[in-house]
Amino acid sequence: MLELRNITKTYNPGTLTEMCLFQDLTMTVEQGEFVSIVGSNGSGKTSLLNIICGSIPVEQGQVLVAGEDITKMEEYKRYQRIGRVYQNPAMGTCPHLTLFENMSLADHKGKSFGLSPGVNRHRLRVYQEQLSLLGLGLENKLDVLVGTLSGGQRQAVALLMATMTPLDFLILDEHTAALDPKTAESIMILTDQMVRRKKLTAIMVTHNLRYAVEYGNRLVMMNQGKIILDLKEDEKRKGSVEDILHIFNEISIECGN
Amino acid sequence: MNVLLDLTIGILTQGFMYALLSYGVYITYKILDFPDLTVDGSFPLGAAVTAVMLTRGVNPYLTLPLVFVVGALAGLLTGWIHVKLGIRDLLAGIITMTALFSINLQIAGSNLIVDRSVDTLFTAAPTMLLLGSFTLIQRKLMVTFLVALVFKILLDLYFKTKNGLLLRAVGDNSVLVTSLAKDKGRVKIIGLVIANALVALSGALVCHEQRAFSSTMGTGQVVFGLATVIIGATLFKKWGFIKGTTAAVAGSIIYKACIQVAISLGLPANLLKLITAVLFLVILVYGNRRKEQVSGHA
Repeated sequence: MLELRNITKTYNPGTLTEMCLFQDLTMTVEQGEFVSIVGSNGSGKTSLLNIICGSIPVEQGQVLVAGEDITKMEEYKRYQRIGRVYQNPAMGTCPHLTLFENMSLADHKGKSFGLSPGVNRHRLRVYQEQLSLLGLGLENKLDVLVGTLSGGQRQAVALLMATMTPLDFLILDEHTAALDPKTAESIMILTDQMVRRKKLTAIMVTHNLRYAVEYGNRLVMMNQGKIILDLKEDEKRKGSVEDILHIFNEISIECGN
Repeated sequence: MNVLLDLTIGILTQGFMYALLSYGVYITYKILDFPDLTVDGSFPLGAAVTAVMLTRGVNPYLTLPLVFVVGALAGLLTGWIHVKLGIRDLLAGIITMTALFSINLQIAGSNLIVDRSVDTLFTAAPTMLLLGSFTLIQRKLMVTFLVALVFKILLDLYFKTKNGLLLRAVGDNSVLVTSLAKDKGRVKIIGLVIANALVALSGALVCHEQRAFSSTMGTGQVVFGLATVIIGATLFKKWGFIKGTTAAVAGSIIYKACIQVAISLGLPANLLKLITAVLFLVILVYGNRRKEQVSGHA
């Protein structure tokens, strides 16, 4: 379970451009929830993810995972139990390493990287099985440099790599936004399969309202650092893209967008 | 004919001695994507420590591991300044390099000449036992070749370990290293430590060979290192199977050969650094052109 308690976040404090994004924001994500977060630009979606992951500090409030306060924990230590897929497919893989080497790195996440061999041929079969689930034929390309793969392929690999080890959360930071519609759709389907198969708790930020409605079991809409809509399982199922879009347009018009 | 042979042996010896410096720059520049100017200070640091130890009668073979440790400390300092104090990579290197200039002089006292009576790597007992039947310049070639080869093999092995893989990952995509729950700063520091240890070792070999330390011997070594790495990488780009370390050795030899030829043709030694700078610029521009052409085709 993830808890954000009374989070306050101000950008550029003490300057003319000071901007208070979150004031007393509280949010809880239960084990097994797949939360889709939508909202216009600047509503605080990505900042929220960055606060959870420790990429940016907060002025006040606490971040708790399973009751443990991790507010002061360094970013890299949090990733021991957090997987993250970024908007940019280049962020989740190493372009100049082979697919095999990339998979080996992810497989070893959180453990110590000593002087034992970097890749383990005995794990090859396991990687091939996992890659074949992506349905992209990557199981035969383990010796290929990841930089030569397409954006969609790289994002699929990034998704696989982020979920290889046991996780408390999977963070999806607009992970389909840089892909063409068809590839985005297939990555979204893969994500859904992965979350179900591994019973992950996931938090997804997206600009695609349809994805937010169709996937996951909770929908959160944010505006100017506040949660203005929070639909759980049943309520969410009743909602349609049109309904959500209607609310979304209302807040956008209020803001003058 | 003999003159030509001696010249070739001389060039190869130079190439192998400086190959260690090239390995170091290969690690920082190519793998870590960190332009590390510490090199201009850690190279003479290796020479200064060696000159002092040899003069004091320390076993010549023992100087190498000690220099390795001292060079590692120089890398550690740059890494610490960059990672812990948040100073930009280029500036962190400049700070250490500048500090080392004084430190080197403190260590050596002044420019030092190692007396002819003192044994070096090339004249001490075990070398003489094995290679005693060869002339001094032949022995120099063999010993430096051996050292360059051993470290090439060690590095190639290291790059294949988990730790080496992480090092390559941090230069390629540091965000991923963070995602792997690893402190990317620490990985960078490890890279800088290894690199500067190698650079100092290169300085030590040069000191053994020249029997001298001079406070200015570090000037331009970074540029030399970068040039060799880029020459190697450019020449062997087509052959993917050639390792970066091999390319670095080749670059080092080619570079030393060019300089030797230029001097033989009557180039005044005072112009060397100028030529180096111009040569480096040409290599960089050429490298950029090729990159543009490649991306133009894509």
